[in-house]
Amino acid sequence: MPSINSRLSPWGPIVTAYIGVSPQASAMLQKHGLPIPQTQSGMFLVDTGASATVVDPTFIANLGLTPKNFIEVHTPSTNGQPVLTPIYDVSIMFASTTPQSGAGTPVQIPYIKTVSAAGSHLQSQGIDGLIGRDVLEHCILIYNGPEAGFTLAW
Amino acid sequence: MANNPIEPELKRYQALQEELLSNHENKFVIIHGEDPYDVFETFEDALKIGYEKYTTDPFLVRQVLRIPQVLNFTRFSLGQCQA
Repeated sequence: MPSINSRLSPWGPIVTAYIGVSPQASAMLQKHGLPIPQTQSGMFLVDTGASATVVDPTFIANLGLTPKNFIEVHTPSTNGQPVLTPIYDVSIMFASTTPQSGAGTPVQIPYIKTVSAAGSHLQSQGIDGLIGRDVLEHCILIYNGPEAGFTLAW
Repeated sequence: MANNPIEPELKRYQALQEELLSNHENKFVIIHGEDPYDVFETFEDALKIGYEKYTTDPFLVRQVLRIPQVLNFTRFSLGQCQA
C-alpha cells in the first residue's frame, strides 16, 4: 500500500500534492491538439475538518480552469451565512515517501480520478490547499502525536 | 461572484430546478447557455460529455438535489476566490 510517512509540521500534517487538470479535460485537450497544462505541486494540509478538498487560486489560474459549479460553504468566519464558492474539476496525485527515502513517483489514489475542489485563497496562511474528507475517505490516516509524525496511506 | 463565467447557467438551473427535481432528482445535469440540458448518472460521465460537446467553453455540472449541497470547513477562514 503506497503511503506518505512524514513529520508533523507547525501547520500539522502537510503533504506534497500534485494537482492537474481532470482526466476528462485532459482527454478533450489531447483530442483537439491543445496543450495540457503542467501538473502543479504544492504543500497541502491534511484536514479532517474540511468536507472537500481546497486548492489555491494560483493553481486554478496556472491550470487554466473554469468553475464547473458553485456551492455554498460554511466556515466559522462566515458566521452562519454560507458563501458561494467556485468548484473546479482536478486530478490529484501524491508521491509515496518516507523521512529516510524522500519522495517517489507521484501516483493517483485508486478510485479517485476526478476531484471536485473548491477554490479559495490559502497561500497567505502558508499552504497551497487542503486535502479534505472527499479524498481522505479513500485513505488511512494515522496521526501520531507523541512521535510528532503522521502516515497517509492509500 | 464577479466575472463568474457560468452565471447564466446557474440562473438557468434555478429556473429549471422544479422540472429537474421532478424528473431527474439525484442525477447530474450539464447546462450550457440555452442548449437543451443533458442528464447523467455520474459526475464523471457528465464531465466527460460536457467537455466533448463544449470543449473549452464554460458549462455547469450540478447534481440535482432537493437540499442543495453545502461544504463545511472547521478551519477558521477560507479566503474568497473569484472565478
